[in-house]
Amino acid sequence: MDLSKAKTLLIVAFLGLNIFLGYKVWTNPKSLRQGHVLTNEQIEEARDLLQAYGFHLQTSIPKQIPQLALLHVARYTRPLSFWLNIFFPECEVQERSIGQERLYACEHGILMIFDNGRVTYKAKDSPTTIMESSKALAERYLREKNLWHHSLRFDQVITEGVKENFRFIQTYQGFPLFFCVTEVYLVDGSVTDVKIDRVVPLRFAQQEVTVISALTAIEKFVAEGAQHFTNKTIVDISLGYYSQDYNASRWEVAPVWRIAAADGKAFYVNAFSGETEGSNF
Amino acid sequence: MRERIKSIMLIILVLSSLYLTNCLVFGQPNLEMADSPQYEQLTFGELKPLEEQVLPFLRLQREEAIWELAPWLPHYNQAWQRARQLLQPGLPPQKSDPPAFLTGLKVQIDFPTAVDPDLWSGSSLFREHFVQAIVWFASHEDVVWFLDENDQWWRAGGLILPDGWLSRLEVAFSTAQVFRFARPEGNDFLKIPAEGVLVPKEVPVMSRYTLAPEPLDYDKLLHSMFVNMATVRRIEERNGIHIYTDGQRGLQLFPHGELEYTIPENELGTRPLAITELLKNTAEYLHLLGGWPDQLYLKNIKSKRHVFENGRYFYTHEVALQSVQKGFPLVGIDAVLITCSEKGIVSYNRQVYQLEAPEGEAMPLISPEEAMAAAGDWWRLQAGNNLLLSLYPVYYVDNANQVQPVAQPAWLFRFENRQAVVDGYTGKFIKWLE
Repeated sequence: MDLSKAKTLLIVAFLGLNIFLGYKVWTNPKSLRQGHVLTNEQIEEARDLLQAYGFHLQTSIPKQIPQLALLHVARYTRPLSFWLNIFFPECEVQERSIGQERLYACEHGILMIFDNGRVTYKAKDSPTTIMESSKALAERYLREKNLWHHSLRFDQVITEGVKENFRFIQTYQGFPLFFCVTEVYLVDGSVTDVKIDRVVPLRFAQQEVTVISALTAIEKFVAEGAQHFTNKTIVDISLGYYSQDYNASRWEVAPVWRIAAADGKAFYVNAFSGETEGSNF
Repeated sequence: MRERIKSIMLIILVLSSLYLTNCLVFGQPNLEMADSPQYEQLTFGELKPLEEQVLPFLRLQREEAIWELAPWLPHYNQAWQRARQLLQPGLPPQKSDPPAFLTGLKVQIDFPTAVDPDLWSGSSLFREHFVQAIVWFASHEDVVWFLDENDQWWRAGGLILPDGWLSRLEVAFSTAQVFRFARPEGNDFLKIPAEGVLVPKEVPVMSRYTLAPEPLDYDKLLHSMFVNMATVRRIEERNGIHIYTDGQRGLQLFPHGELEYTIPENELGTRPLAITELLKNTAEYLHLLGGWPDQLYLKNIKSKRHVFENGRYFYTHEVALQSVQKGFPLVGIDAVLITCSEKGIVSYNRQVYQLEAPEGEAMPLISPEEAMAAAGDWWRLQAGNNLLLSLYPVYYVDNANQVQPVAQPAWLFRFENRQAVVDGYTGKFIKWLE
């Protein structure tokens, strides 16, 4: 094949390729890629802002500003027998209703099942052994009781008097669901209380929206939430999902930035609107 | 030469393919650089013109006979067009006593809220006066009396009416409802005015109806309320209520057809709105949030001043609209209740019902005298010293918050400062209205 013929073939081939590429560029949906990340200067600005309000950071400030979607969830419901088998196996149970909550008692303790799906257990027995309370102990208890789930992630431990509250947060595809917490209270290595709030995450909504940055969330926090924080050690600034309590079987949850202190207090900023979404002051 | 052209073409094509590949892989714009999304302006029906929002009751009285035209009756527009000429006196108004001493043929205009007559007349003589009612006597044809928003009567002369104005007005009143003054005998527990209680001359024949919510495009409504639906959460409550919220504004859709839209951040209005501004805003809100169908009429407007903790004031306004079906107002609920400030809507409640199917045969209501007699002693206990002014036939919306609301034929007892609903067939007291 001579050079002229090869050139002709190449021209035809590239012409075809260019037409194809041009068509794809023209018709390609203009979806937005991730906006950007916070610069080092912005991270410093956020850090300075917190320090100006007397806060001490024990965590890093996330740089990423991703696109997220709403999360569809359903209420986690289990039959009564499920809970009785876990907490009161082979035990005679007495039942009472107080308002919207159902109360079950046996010699081991008291179990309450709330209308919104929350379950709390309070042990009657005093600790008989003296052991050091630990996250591993709390996790082992949950596993033994069949309450452990691979989506649970240790969040923090909060000391409340003699009790130590080990908090595990439910996650979905890596995102913490800050409103779904399993708490195990230990005194001298014995479980005294268990509180369970869970949902069934269904799916993310289709449309994604770029969230506000951690810097914007921190600005909101210092403007509206900081004065309520007595403990000035910030242990977490992260993206997740948070919802208030609704009398619903299915609902959607918005992404939030959580700013949490070492004593368990947390402030939630809606990651779409930048408005205060909730707190646990 | 030809080979040279081919080489150049080939180089251009190779370079352009590289460029296009680059565009395809890396060429998507950053969010910050992207054009703002184009949002479609969603509206419902036509924007209600300002002068059609406030429609007064028109009354023509010749001695004991009274004709009344409500805004939903035939020939109303014709009569209102004629009556509007009373809004153009030629001389500035002067304070006056109530024109109660005058007798003879009388025309009266009662507005649902104190309003600036310049809305229709363009006359500057009413300036600084908002008018609740206007009265004209044939015996003083160049004078009008009007009651302002502070319950002060004024007298304005220099009125020039065209020839034949009264006769043409009387023709327009030919389809009006005829009323009379009732003076119940042996009734010592109700306080009534000297001339009697205004009641319809004919006792109406009405049916009890089931009610159905108006057909509303909820998807369109949602897109009108929320700019970016991707940020709006949907919550299905177990009692059937659906909630939509983006954290700043919220919408509740109730199973019985009611909707409640709230934007709490608009609550702190820093200044009161002028009536014209308020009416203009109301029309725009309805235009965006479900429309202003023909069956809706302005009922009243209330302005509120609230004191804040730091001694500052903030202002809100309430605009209530009532629904009228088959010529009778639906009472017991406000079809639309808008609370707003100069910042925008604070809350928007809408429950517009339509008569669906009659329940049983149409029956005449008990007569006004029977209704007043059936009232019994509880009037004395609850009505106090309020004068009973009139009785009107209405539909009372019963089971308003239930799955199946019904329209119950009823008598509306209008006292000086309050209203009561009484069962139209039995005379049994139903409730006080706020």
